[in-house]
Amino acid sequence: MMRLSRNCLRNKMTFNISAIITAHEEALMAGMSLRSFLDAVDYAQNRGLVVEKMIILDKANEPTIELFSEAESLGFKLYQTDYGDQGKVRNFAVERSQGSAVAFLDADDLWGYNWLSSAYELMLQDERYIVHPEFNWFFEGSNNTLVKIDQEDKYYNQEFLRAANYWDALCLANREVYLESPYCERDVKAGFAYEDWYWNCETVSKGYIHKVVPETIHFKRRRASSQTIEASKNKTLMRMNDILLYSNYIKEGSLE
Amino acid sequence: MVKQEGSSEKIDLTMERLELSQRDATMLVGLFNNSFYRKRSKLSLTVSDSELFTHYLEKGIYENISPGPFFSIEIYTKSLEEQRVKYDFNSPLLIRWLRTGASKSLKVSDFFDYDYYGDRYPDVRESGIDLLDHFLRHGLSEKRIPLKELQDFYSFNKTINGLSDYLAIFESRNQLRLFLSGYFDSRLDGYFQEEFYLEQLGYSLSVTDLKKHYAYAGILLKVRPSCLYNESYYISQVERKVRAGDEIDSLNFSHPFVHWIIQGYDAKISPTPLFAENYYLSTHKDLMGWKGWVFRHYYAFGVNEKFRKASPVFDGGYYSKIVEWNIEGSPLLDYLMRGEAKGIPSAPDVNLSSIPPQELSLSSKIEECALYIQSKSHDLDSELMQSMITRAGYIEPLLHQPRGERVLQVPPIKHAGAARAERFTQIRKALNSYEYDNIVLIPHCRMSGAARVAGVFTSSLMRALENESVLVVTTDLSNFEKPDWFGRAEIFDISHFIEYCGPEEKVLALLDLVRGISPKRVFNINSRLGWELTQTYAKQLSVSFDIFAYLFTYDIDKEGNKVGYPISWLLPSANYLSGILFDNKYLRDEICDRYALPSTLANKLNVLYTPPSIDSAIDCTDVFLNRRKSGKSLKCFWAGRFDRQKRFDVVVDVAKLMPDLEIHVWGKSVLNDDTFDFENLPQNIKLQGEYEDFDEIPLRSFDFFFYTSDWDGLPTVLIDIACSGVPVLSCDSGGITDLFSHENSWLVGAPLSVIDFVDQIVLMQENPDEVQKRAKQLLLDVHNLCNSASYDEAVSKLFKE
Repeated sequence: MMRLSRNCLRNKMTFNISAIITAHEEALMAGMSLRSFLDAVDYAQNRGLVVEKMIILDKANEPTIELFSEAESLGFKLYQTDYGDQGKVRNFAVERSQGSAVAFLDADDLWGYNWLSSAYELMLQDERYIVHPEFNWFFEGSNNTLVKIDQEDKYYNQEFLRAANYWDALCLANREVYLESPYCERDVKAGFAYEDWYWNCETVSKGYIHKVVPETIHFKRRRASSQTIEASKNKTLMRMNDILLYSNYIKEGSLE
Repeated sequence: MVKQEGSSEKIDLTMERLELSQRDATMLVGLFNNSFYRKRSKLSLTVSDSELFTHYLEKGIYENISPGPFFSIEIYTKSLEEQRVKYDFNSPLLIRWLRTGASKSLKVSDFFDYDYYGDRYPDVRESGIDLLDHFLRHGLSEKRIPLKELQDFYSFNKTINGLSDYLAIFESRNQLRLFLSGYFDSRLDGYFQEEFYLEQLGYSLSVTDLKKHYAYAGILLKVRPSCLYNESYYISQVERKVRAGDEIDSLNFSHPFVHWIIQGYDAKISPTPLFAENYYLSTHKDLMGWKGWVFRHYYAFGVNEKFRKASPVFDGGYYSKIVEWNIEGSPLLDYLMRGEAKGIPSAPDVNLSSIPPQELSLSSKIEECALYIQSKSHDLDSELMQSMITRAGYIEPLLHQPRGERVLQVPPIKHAGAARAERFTQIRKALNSYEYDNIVLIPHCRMSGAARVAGVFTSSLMRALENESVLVVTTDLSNFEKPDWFGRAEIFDISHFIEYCGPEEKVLALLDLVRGISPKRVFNINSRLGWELTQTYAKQLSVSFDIFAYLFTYDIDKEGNKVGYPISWLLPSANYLSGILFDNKYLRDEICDRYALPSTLANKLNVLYTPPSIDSAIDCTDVFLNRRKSGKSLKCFWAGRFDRQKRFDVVVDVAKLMPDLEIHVWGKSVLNDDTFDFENLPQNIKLQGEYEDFDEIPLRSFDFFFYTSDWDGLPTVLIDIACSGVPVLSCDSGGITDLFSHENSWLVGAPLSVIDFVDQIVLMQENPDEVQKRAKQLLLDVHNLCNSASYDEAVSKLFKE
């Protein structure tokens, strides 16, 4: 791993948010993510928040590295890694972050411009909060819009997590949450993937609360080769966890 | 006089508070209507009816709030103004009217027609009494009719305050007129739903015209004329339109349904969240040319057509397919009246379990679901959200690709995983316990050798692991004909919950079950779904528990190729299985040979010879000889499935060649892959139907057992026959030779030939002593090879290793 940023050490100050782009082979596409990222950072800074900007280039190809070549001059800290594993990349980023909260953006997706400020504001209400946007607007390969559910919504049903995932990893949470619950390794060879889903199950089991920030939105590109789609094709599973285990549910009408 | 409950107390109170004469106080009480006044005074529903009246005497009358439909302050003041009569609006106008005397010249209500009343009741006109005075003091209680539009009213509404209450829902006579003409107009044909209406009322009605009943009486009750009317939804839609500045009056004092008929319909406001116009049109291209409001198409036709989808939350075609009854008429109506309460999914991607049950006369779970989704859709339409979408669209122009109606996914109630989640929950909740040490997967339990082996194995497993629990899961069908074969093991039928699922969903349901329980071991005994599970997920599952598979035989397809579990199904799972069990050595050896297994892997392949099911005290070894000595004609029996594998055709041909041989046959078709003309079988074949227990066969009546099959394991029926001492004439297919040989039985080799069988039968006839000798040898051999003690020992050994 090579640290590309030459001026990272100057940032001894406390950041409110570490905003992190994780990039791989998105090339030009990542430019649009960067544009939306900067919109959201500006919007947050205009509201008095101090934002640490970070880019992790994991197994990135040349066009992607090239695209971010001037990022440092925009105040970004730039890291290159060689994991090939989103979970590990996020863990790496969290360890190096200096913000009290951490927010991730994949380099093919876009944030709504109010995301960072609104999410941070909600997160401050309770240290257990992991906050998500109200909507995921899918495009390119899908025209669905996913409405995220708040764990305190009247229709929230924990058992749904056994069947499908409610939230993705483009959330914002206190840095400590990520340190206490790092992402697990992706191991497609052994048949295990869906580390985002697993992370959500684990954090729910630990008592964190996944919240939705009203009037916030992420724009997510659905590509034929997305990792989620690949995982589904490969018949991989989420690792075992407490949400899956029946013994963690109250037995209605139990004979025992 | 209108006789209201407690009216004399109200009259006394009015006289006391307002210092009115008894006549005037009586008039005032007669004019007062609770629901009318509640709306006009904007008092909440928590204020009781008696408090309402007190409120009127203390405040309302002084604020000149109209007391009921038969006295309107607005109309009275207008009349006064028209007649240029001066009045003081700061003093109570009703008292003014009472004291100055009601007269025809001053109109006080839109709901009393002097001319109509006088023409209809000439006796009253002739009496010289003021007609309104008469109506209020007598006519109302005598159920006299004050308006032409209300001619039919009392045929449907006979309640004491019915007429006042009814008129209280209208703001004017014109509104009443428009409502009735609009409601009975042919454009609403098909909208009113009699069945739904009666269901809500909960009692039968003597009137036959239920639609009229709703117009005059039902509208005052908490009932809906159609499942396509949701009052709170309609109110919210009107409020949205008003806020948006659309040309529509706010509801004010109008009844929402009246408002819909008079204004909402023409403004094309759908009164139900179960109809989404764009969705309906984009789903049904044939409606693009529909003239007029497409909602009319839906309530008049589409709602009764199973293939029509009017909302993402209800799929009539899907619902009609999965219910256990035939739906006549509207699937949506059927769902609301029956399906929802039974928890039947409304669409493959909808799960309503987290929505509390609703009062049918107000709403339903599915409507609440649609409302919730629409509220989210409105959130997305907010100014801020639209500005962010615009900004993002500026950055990424592909944001609106692909084009088309944007679909909201709203987990957990509407999402591709919603129905799956509900299924998982239902399965979990149906279990008696969440903790089992062992799970045995079987396809079903019918009268079959595999089911018996599953029973034998489960019972042995429970003896070997006596402190551990066992759950037997039927995966493919619900049939469980032989629970006694499984001892005290708990039985759970997952197949019932997944009957209508696609193959992948079935596997996921079983996956959730085994992961949810996380036992120490899972055994698959001929479960197709179990094989599908391990074929896909054995690698991951083997991390959490041991997986065993039980094999009996391969199949052979019509082209002569080997197929089935030991062929294509075993391979993807084999590396992750802790053990493979066989009922015969023949198949085990074939697999060891085919895959050139080294001993380390071959050791995972274990043969468990199935013990017999019958009492070992039975000994028929002497029967053949004795029957020959007594000169009886030769009589044998055959038992099996009339399927291609079992070669019943050979039996028929043998019967034809040996007309003196009587063949009794027990069996049935299971796979239906072969056909026989059972009506025209040779007369020496005697069909006996099916047997429930082996004991039902009178073994001592037969000279030998006749068995045919093209491929096989070691059939349990042969083991039972061998154990009874009955001589056996059999093919030597597959695992049969593990037990049967020329020393203990009469064998015919492959390919099966009728002549070979006939030759063997002739040989048996000619050598009765040899027949007896071989039968005795078979008895010894079967007890040595197939016995409970050896079986239990082999099962125990599996876990010691």
